[in-house]
Amino acid sequence: MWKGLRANMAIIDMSLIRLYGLDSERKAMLSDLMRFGAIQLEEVLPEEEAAAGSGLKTSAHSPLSSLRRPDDQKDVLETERQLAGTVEALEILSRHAPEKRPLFSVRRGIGASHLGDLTADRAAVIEGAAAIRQLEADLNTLKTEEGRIRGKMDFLAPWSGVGADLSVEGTRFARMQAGTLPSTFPLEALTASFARTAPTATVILHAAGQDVQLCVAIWHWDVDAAVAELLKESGWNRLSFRDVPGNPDNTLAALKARLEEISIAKKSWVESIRGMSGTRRSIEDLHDALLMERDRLKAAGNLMATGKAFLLRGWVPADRCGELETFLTRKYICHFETETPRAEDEIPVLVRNNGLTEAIRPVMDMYGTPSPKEIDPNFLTMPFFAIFFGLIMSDAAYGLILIGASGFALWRYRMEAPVRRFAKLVLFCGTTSVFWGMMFGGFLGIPAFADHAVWFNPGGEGGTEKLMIWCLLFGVIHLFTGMGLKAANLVRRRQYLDAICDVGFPYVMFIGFGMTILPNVPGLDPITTAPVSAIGLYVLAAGIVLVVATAGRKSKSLAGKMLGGLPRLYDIIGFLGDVLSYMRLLALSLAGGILGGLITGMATGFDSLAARLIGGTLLLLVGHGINFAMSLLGAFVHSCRLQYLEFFSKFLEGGGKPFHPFGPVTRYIVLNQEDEPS
Amino acid sequence: MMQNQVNVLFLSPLAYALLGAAIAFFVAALGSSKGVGIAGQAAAGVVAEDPGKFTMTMILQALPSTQSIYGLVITILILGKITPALTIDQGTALFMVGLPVGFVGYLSGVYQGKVAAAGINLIAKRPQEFGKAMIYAINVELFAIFSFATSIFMLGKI
Repeated sequence: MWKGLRANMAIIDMSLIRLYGLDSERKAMLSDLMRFGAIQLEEVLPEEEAAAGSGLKTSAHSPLSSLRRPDDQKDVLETERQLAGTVEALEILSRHAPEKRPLFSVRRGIGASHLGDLTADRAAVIEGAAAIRQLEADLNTLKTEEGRIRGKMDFLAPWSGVGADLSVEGTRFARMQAGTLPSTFPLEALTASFARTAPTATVILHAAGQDVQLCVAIWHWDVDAAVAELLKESGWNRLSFRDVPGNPDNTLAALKARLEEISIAKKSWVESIRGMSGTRRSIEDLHDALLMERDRLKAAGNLMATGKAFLLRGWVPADRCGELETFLTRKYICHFETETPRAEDEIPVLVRNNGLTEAIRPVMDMYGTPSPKEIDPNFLTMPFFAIFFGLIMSDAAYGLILIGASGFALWRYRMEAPVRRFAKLVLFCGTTSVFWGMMFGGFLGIPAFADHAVWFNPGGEGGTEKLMIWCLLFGVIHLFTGMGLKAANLVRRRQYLDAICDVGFPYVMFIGFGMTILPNVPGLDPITTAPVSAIGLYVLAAGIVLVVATAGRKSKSLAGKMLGGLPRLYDIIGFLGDVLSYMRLLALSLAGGILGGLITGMATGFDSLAARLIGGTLLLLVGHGINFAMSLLGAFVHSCRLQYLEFFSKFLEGGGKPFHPFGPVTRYIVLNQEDEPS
Repeated sequence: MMQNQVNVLFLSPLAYALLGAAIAFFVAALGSSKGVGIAGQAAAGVVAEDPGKFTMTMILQALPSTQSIYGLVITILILGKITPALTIDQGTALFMVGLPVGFVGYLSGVYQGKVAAAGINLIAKRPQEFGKAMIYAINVELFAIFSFATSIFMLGKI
């Protein structure tokens, strides 16, 4: 029976394997190991090999000093360069030819035997990706030119109609400059100054803007110095037209024509890129193939080789060791052995659940990974989570919506494993919502349903107290189950005494405490519960004595043994606090139910038929929509919290490192494999 | 005449009951507004950097809105207790019912918003710690839940 129980508690045993192989077969073997996808590579350290008296050392021809890491750095860099090329090409494609994404994006499945096909016409695909990148580069050149032209046009536009080539700086005797004066500067002042000291100079106003006046100054070269001085004093800012020669009007027209050309060219370039979108699939395939190749090359950095042979270490799920050995020894010349893990080795944690319990994985993954030495709690977390979720929703109609949506998604869409697990969780939670909705007569807050509740109506006379007592009782069961798991973990490690002292005696203490305070619980009759309370006092006393006497047993000093248990009395307060925390089930359930009832009441309360049809329907949809969303949020986060804080804190050690097998990590395609990374 | 006006103001059972109903909702809803507002500002900042975090930040932002729901439910329950034959004892009692959920809801809403904002900043750096960010915020809610339960049980005695 114990064995069966262990098989159900699905943290998989791990073996540490050592694999010796021929260097000439290394790449092929790594490729097969990746496809096998169930080995987590560990670094092989030369010092440790020396200490362990490794097989590699004993060979006379390959002394320890010749051990080295296989150097594939150049190949890694080359693969990464190609990978970056495909990523860029795919980005360009999705920018110009975005793909309509399905509701749940799924990677394309590919049988392992088809892996070779992915790279069959690699050269052509690389060329295609390069062509896409080239088109984008050309497009960018056009865009840069467009920007430059727009800049020139902005510069020239105010000079339109000036009727002269402003890039000309003068003739043999005359000088010409175009420039600006501050708009606050009176032009007449400058003209007057010219008349006084440089009579051959003149300044012509072309246009007056908000900040500046656009002017052209012309003078004879013999007054150069005086003009330069006067212009400087007036705040003259010379403009250079070297980049835009010719009459501004003609230049503007030419630039505009070029802009139109560019706009047409840009369109045709984008069209060409769109035309390449047919190659998207093959580029995606190549991307993933390169990704796998890169990982394979990088994996070699974990192992040690002598030039002729190599050594590899890694964790493999114990139940797949045999399969791996047959698979490798049939194909390659290699030696396979199992190592005993040392105490300091961190055993990776692989959790394997059945179709029912895997649904709770999203909740568990948000919390962390259990330690490899304990029982996987998923098989208990799942029912408690679903029950509490349903209790908070406790509306059959909302539950049916959840069942409908998740059921349809599961039936109609293909999903990646994590999304599918989540959809399953929603399906189970919807089912419990329907269950509790029926028990409490919750269906969109319609009073007729509430009156015919299967169990009782929490909103009815005395119903609130009754529901509270049951919620707290569920809490006690949940907490006791958590403590029970702690005991099971201790028994599994053969710490039988610890199981009795750390779980058994607190059980007695808590049960006694619960019995003692029973008459004080609202909704219970103090007179009928009085005898229970009287007995409870003895149970509590016995529990306290047992806990205080044993909790300090690990202390070294006698005083510690006797007094070390006293602080554990505080656990009673902690336990009371934990149980009261389950009051949230009552509060959230009531809040949702009452609000739902109110919405339905308001929607059906209109007088005229038209108001009832239009206003009522609208109110029902919006009101219940909001109530549904808020209930959903509350149900999810509070059910999570009750697991994380109240339940897990009783037993879960956590801190395990998830099993990350050396396998294909891909983005677009998925190879058919068995153990997925946790 | 004077005596009568004073009676209307201080001894009207309806006025007390309505005051209780008002406090239950509006004080709690003030807390929710402030809390959701604080968290929303933090969320917008994080989503500016990474729009992919919208769902997570939105869930955290919405957490402090429950306080106003508790307040609303108590308001409705108080209003449901109002009858034409309301005595002054019942009126003042209904007023008291509104106090726990209103005032605790206010503080719990504000602080939950602050913790949610901190949690939003936490997932900006470590999105995998979403569960923990949620727990921190949920811990603050427990007191609003207790105050809601207190109000409900008080109501049961009237």
